[in-house]
Amino acid sequence: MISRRQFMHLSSRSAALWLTGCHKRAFNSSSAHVVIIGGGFGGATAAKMIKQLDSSIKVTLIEPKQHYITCPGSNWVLAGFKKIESLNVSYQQLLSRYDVGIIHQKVATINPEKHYVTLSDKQKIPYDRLIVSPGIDFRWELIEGHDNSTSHLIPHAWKAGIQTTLLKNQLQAMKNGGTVVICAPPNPFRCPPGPYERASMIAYYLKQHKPKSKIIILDAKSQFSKQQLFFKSWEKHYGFASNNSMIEWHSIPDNPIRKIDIKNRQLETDFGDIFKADVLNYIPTQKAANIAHTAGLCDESGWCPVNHQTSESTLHPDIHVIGDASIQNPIPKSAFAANAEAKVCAFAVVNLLNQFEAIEPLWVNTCYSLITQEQGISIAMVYKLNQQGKIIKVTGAGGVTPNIAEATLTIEANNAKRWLKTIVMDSFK
Amino acid sequence: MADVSGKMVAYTCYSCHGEQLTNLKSTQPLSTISLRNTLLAFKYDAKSASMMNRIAKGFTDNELMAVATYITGSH
Repeated sequence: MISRRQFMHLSSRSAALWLTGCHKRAFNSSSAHVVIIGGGFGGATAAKMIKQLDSSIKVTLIEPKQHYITCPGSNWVLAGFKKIESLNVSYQQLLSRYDVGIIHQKVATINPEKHYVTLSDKQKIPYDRLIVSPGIDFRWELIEGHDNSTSHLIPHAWKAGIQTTLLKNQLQAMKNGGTVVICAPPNPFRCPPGPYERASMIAYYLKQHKPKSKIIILDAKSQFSKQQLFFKSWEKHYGFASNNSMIEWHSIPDNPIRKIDIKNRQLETDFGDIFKADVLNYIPTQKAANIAHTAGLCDESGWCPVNHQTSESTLHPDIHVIGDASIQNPIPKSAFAANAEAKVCAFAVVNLLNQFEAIEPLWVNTCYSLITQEQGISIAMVYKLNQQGKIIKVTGAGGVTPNIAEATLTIEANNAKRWLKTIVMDSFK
Repeated sequence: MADVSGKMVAYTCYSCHGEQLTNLKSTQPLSTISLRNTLLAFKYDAKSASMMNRIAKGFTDNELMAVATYITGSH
């Protein structure tokens, strides 16, 4: 027997399903097909969540890789306390638990007018709504002497996997007393605190194994995320701002790096300044992934403009863009943000397909960076939509780690490790 | 700005607390009011944590009540 209270509870939970049976809608439940391009945090979360909200919608995820390797945590691999294999995430649970169809292929083209995607094997996949979550690609045309074909020699390590291992191997092969140069890209780019967490993690490794070495950050920006927390933590752990600092930060917004001499691992700036490195980690200027460009989803900025309530492209109807490729500022380009954007997108897609009313969206971003294996810092923000349809930070919310007491930073480091587990679970499992 | 629904807010909680909240009913039954009070305590700094004070300040009191209702009612 079901009590009245349990019945109410049941019926509210199953509202979407009940309505599916009772209501006539634009696409009836059995025919709506959502195709998702890209199996990162954005695409995986969108796939899972659409099935959670309305299991009658058919969802197909297209992702060339057999498993995902998370970028979060990949700097920890450089520090030596995290194995790259531990960042592998399977797509199996999206299939087995949520009935998401998965096609391991590359998308060749998108036809926005006729509503289909063509795969690299020429197969055509029709969609009612398409979600594009392809991540980033690099603007190699801005640098002379270096491009994707030489990135095995000068690894960017800005997509986790083989690139991470290449950089790690170079650090391990470097002599004690060597110089690591990290070139931090201009805004906007994936993971705003990433280059500085990377500097911290490389310093953590060098301090133990090659203490005479140095890290020079050449930054295209005049300021960066969590800057004061990084500076104070570097002072404490890596002698920052002293005569014997392991990390140096040089801001060169007006003097960009123009040329790389691969053979000599040497950089040249616009003004002709030369920097020589033993290990060179050039993180290129970024743009939305190439598929977004060829599909005509990008504006002149190189990123994809979207309606923020629905994340639907302002350039092509029935195509939604989420994650790093989309313009959703002031939300940063991060894994956690891609997960949040995917949720807003999933609500919007399900409501549009069912002709339900749109909901008021909300985004949360939390982002942790480690300074050492046991000390960490964080930044967080809550975002809402204003009357003009723009995303805004909620006044009074968010901010960085409240103080830099050792005990606080220990808690933050523990939370950073837990954060990685839970965000992976929420997105892929 | 209109209030955000309890369901939308709850899904943002799951990013960090998915497993805990899914297991909530079986492991530690929690009343709506006690969860709401905890969230309000974070918002108004009556209770402190490394992250939750910063997050809870992003929501209206009504939204915190709505998410507490959704989470305790639906698990």
